Amino acid sequence: MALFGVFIVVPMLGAAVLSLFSWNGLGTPHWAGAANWIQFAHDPLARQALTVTAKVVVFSWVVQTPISMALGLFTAGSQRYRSLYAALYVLPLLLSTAGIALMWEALLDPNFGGITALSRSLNLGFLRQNWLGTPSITLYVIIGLIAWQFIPFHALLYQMGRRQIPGVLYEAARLDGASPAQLFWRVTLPQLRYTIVTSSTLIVVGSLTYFDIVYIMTNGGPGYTTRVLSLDMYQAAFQQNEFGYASVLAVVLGVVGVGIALGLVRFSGFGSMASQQEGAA
Amino acid sequence: MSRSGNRASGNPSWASNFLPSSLGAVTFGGQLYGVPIQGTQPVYFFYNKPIFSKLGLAFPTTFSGLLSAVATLKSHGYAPISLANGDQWPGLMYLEYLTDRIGGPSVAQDIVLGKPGAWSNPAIIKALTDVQQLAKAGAFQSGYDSLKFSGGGSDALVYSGKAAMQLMGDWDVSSMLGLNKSFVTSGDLGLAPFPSVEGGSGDPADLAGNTASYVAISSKATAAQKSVAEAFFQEVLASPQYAKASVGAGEVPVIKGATGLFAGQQLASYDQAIYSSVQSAPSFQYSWDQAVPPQEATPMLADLAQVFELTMTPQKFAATMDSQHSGA
Repeated sequence: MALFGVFIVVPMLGAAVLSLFSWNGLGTPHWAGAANWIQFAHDPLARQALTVTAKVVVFSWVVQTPISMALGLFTAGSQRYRSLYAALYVLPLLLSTAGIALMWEALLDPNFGGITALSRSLNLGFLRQNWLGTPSITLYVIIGLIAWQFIPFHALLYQMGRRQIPGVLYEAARLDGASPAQLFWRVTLPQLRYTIVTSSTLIVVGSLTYFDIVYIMTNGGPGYTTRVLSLDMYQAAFQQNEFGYASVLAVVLGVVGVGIALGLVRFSGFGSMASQQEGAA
Repeated sequence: MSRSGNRASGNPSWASNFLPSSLGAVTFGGQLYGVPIQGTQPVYFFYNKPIFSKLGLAFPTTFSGLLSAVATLKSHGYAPISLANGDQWPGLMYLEYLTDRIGGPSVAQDIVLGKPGAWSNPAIIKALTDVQQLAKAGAFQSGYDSLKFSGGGSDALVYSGKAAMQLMGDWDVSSMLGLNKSFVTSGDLGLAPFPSVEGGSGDPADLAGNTASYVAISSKATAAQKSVAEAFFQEVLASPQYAKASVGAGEVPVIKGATGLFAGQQLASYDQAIYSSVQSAPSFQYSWDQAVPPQEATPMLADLAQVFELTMTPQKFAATMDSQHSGA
């Protein structure tokens, strides 16, 4: 409890307090009252950052959850070749985020990159894009790369979740004449409820604060189309030397993140810790 | 560097040991506020000499000459200009030079001093229009708005013969030397000043870039600390020995009388050319992303990148930048 207080509660309170001051990081903070919050409310760039962040959160969940679930359920099967696939899918987890960002940046270079070379050898013209410089597609490229990085992790979660489901539930359902589709919707999915909540919370809260790939690959560009709120906060604090305004963004991120996490737990009944194994023993 | 620095009463005698153009960035109201330390890094066009000689082109000295060179290069399948605007600051160099060539150094001075309406100066609008003219003419390589300088990609375009030139700071010589030694040592890397703009009032010998790094004395220093600092400035930073050590470290110093010191260095011909141009420059403007307040620098770079991408008009850029002041 003490660790939680020191590392979580105290900094959040500190950020909330700092948001009422204006401070350039070196001198003494000056009282600013609600000025930073008013600036946040009126700033069109802050609205843009919120929209971009919301898109990243929603699309990350929409892309990562079905694919992770499919991969996880596939690798949970007992055939031997499936564990070979599992070993391959884990590869992105072994790479550092910075390494992933730099590697993909080199691959996607429209002049020298591997994707461009592939487009020439396979004669696929649509692969020759300015992947990181076209305002309409760059955000989705970033979302795709984040998905590439984290799907293996969530696939592991679903794999473990699937393996924990007692076989008797499936036997009983098959005896009742259930089809494979019904087995999925009526047995697998409900039993995976807590895994889905865990994975979803991680995806949503993680993509809300995600920073690394965006900072390294696009730095918010082209224009402001990939400028997520965490990047906005970083630039406000360390490039524009406005720590008070950056604290406003930090508080917003913190409150939204905690709110979503609490909401997901409440909504799914995760908090009640009810057993899912009733009738299985 | 502290802006609330200590003023020497009248300028000290050792200040005249420095090249005058290097002191412009730290002189306010005729008083000197900072002392140069480390080398200077002006911005030039670095170009692939073999491409130009193959096409029988001399490096353009006017903006219209640049536009026609762009057209010729494009028709022969080259990317005329390599631009790493993924980093945003390379584009700023175009704005700095064009503004100076069109309106002279006072335009940048107004911006740095935060005068209201400084960004709406017609020279800025014309400079940005010229930038967009270059972009529309296809002067920059494809993907210029996402390419970064740090990966060496924009340098690679020049030394591999895909692009003909790049506007970059003089660190590009060492950068190219590291990436493709023979390209530099064989003399294939050309160095040229930024062209003049027809009808502009700026001197074509003016420079832009990182004039130097500077040190200054805090106004909170004690008298004893101040005298130690001033002795350091006079005996070390303004001295010929410092110039010699700076050259040995591969820098181009801003101390007078360094002309003979470059012989024997690996990049002697480039260093000498750079030193001479700083020596004779009437004015040398400091990179704007260092000179303007930090709150302004970040949106300036992001919005300028949008001007380069043709998604923002010059007028909108000027209006946004000016409103930063009235809002602040």
